[in-house]
Amino acid sequence: MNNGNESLTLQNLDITDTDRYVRDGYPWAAWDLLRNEAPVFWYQRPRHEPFWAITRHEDIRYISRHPELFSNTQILRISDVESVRIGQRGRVRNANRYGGSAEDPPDFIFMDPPEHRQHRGAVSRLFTPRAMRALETHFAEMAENYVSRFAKVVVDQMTAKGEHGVVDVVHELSAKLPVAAICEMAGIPEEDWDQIFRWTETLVGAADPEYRLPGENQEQTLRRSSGEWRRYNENLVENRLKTGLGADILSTLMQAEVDGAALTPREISNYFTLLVAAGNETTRNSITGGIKALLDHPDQLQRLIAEPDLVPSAVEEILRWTSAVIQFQRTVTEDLEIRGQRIRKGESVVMWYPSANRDEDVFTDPYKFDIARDPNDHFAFGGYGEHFCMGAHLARWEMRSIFHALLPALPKLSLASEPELVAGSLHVGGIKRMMVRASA
Amino acid sequence: MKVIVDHSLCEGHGRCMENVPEVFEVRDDDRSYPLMKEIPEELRARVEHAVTVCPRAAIKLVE
Repeated sequence: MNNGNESLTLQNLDITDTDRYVRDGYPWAAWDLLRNEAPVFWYQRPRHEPFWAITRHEDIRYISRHPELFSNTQILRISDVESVRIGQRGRVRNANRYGGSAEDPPDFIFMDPPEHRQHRGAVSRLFTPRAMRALETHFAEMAENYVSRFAKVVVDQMTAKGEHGVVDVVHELSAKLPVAAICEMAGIPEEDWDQIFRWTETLVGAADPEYRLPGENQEQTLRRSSGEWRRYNENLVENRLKTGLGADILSTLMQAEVDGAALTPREISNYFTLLVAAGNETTRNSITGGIKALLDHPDQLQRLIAEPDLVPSAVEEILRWTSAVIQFQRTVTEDLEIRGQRIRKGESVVMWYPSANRDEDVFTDPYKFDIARDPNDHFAFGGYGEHFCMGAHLARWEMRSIFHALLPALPKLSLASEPELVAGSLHVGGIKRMMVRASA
Repeated sequence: MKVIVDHSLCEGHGRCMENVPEVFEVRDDDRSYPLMKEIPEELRARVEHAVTVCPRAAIKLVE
């Protein structure tokens, strides 16, 4: 084990121990070593099925462009063997509830072409750049509103507690716009948004005891919150049937056809869950990470304030810098080679996106936070190809709006604590809280 | 040299049009359309770049 005194080697490095993520943050040094010495590395560690760790931008690009060679239908992301078992039992319960088989893809990310394109196509029109541009002014207004409410909370804290007054950026600001935007698009009434956020936190963070009720284990927490969410979801569907369909995500799913057939209730429920959860989880972390990055780099913050036209470019750099999504997994469909390594049919490859986003072959000075970086072909939304993030433009517009609105206030803030990561998550580097205070 | 945009993948991200507006146009159906049948050789490097940066890997070059 590498305890900090011992030097890092391919034999002792660890990129899957989630306790270390919580304690030390992302394993940047281990990814650097892999990228430089073993970019296609057979990784075997306790509590995990072995896999090929893929850490270079170019190789992740190749895998992402070839869904026929690298399939999504088996396992989509690595987690420890216990979480994998819990997931499998969940699939069985889901099949018992809705019919079909536990082997059916839970949602369309678990599909390959051509099915993937048809099912994703059922809703992708709602997320295109054109659809998002139409919401630009609305996002800007919402962002202004959330930023002024946040500013008021900070001022109130300072007034009440002086220098001890601290505010959690995650709950008081970062989560607000992503939750509001996806819930509006989904047609979820405003009075339910806080509850939607709590369900998302719990469904994504059930491995972290903080999100469990007293006496619950991870699986019980997941069963409880997914049951509550599904009942809520079914009520929404019933309400739509009573009051009529609209242009929202749920109505769109309910009207969608694939090969002339409507989606099943199970598909509607699972796709809706995917879009609502994915739509608020990752962007929240990128916003929090971006606030930290700008506060850690006052020169870049000053430049951004002087040149607000750089906000879109700064957002891309924040996405690269933060790399909220850690990894996705693919299963190889035939014997092949990557960089001379024989990989056999049925084996797993795991794409480590934060590593690609620090690849020296692609990014000049990759450990420099540069809000004017150009080009900036980061893989924060996954590699380019079949499964590129459908919500990328939604996330971009949310982040542009928030940072634009927040810029004038940022120099008056300082970090009161480092971001605290959600325990037990190897998929998204979830930040559960990050305290800030008003600078003196 | 020709370009083909796979409309089962294209979602109108527009990186192709940003890079080579002479060759690609994203229309109101959120899909990119090639504006030329035959791509002149002097545009090759920029079109190849558009192929590389397409978020859905939806563009192919055919000689």
